[in-house]
Amino acid sequence: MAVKAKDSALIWSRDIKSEFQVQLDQTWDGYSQSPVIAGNLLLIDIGGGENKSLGAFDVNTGKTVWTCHTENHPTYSTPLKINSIGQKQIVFNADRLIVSISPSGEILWKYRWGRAYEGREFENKIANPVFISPDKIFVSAIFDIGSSLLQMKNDGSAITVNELWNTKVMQNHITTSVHVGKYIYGFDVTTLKCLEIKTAKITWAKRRLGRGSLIYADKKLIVLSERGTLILLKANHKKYEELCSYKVFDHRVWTPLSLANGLLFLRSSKELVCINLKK
Amino acid sequence: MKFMIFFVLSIFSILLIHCNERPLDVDQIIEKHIKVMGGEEILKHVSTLKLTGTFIWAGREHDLKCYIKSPNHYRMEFMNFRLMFDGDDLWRMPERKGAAPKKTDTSSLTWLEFATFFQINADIEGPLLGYKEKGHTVELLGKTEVDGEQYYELKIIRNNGLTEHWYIDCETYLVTIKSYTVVYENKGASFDSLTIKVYYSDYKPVDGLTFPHYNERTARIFHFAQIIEQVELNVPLDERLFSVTPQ
Repeated sequence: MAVKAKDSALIWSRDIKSEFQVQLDQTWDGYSQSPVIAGNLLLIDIGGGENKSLGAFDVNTGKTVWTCHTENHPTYSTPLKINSIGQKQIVFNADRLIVSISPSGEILWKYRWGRAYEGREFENKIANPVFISPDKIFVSAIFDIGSSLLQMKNDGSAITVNELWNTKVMQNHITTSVHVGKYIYGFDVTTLKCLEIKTAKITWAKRRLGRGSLIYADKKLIVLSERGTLILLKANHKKYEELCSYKVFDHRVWTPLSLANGLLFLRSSKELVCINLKK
Repeated sequence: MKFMIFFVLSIFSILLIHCNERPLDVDQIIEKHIKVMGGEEILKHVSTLKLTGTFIWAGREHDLKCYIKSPNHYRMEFMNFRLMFDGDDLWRMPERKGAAPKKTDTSSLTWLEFATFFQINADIEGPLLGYKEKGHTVELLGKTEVDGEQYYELKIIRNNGLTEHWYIDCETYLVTIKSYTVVYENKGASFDSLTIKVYYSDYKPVDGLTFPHYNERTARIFHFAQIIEQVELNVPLDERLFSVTPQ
């Protein structure tokens, strides 16, 4: 649905699940991706069948602009909007595929990545793809799929994608890694790690946090552990360098943290907290 | 001239020392490990442990109590769980008096993993001390890098067949990681085994014994952690804690 920011009045709504006959197995917890806006388009990993896997909707009216088929069930991953190798693209970490779509709905490239696990009908992908300028995509998933670095090439007539490496030592579970310079910082399920992009080697690992989420701002990493501790780190690839920490929640936190205009928003299973970082 | 002679001699001495540095063999590593753990006498002297702390499961914290009777009894209490390993089987103890303990289902991966963790950690003395006499085999696989750190990797096959890989810190000689594989008997599952890594840290001396006050177990997406706040050595433990008859 779309609502007015001013007073939350409804502008339009669509029932994606029933309108697109989304077939789900019982292990799916529901949509938790964030829709992405590209121009006038609102992009969603629908997960429907019959040419309805991925969709674009008019952001003003909610009307369907296009849908396309990528043989996928829905994932929890948010699409990534990029402009790379001379092409505007929306990259989806879709079920068993990484797939790139043009703003007009044309499939630009597909890369088979992931597999079914433990009898599930679909892959349990949660982390978003991460763009590494100018031409690479970092993807990560749990269940021993691990992380891969993909490189895109455009020879003018076709786009090809190569996997530069795959490693099992960085498996993003509930949140997405952060790219800073030549390194990736992220949670390998329950261990915060720094990974060198060129070699896929881990330069440091910090345990005891459990799962967590992180963002990068002002040359620092802001980390929120699943046990409710907020940690400020230097983005230092040589060592884990904690500047300060504060226990915000006493209960579980699986919602990624977000920062806007100096305000840090944190949500646990019971509370929403806003911290003013400008003060 | 004096400076030149001093410089050449210094370089020669450094080279000589370096050439004489032989890599440690498995028994030398074990000897150093036993020493930092408190020594043979202490390890052999500890027969029971009572641990009090916090158990962390899926990001939630719960009070924890563990009762360990070497070499193979381990009881763990958290939430409404009272789990007891008797050396062979894992039992779920009843909350109410008079009810019978229930043997856990070995086709459940969770119980299988708990049983293996208890089996390993109930052996307070550890498999390395006198490993040959105990019938275990220990092989040094060399130095291995894990997450940017160097470890001596030992492959230990216990006399009952349980195989573990221990990663011993090259500087402190403390065990940082124990890794083992449990075989999953549920034929309906899409995999038949699971490798678990247990990370140990926060080592502190307790009455002469060096004990890890933190451990976390990970495999795929599961994650359990124990923060140990109090360690009591050789406390008398009621036999009923480990009894599988109704009480």
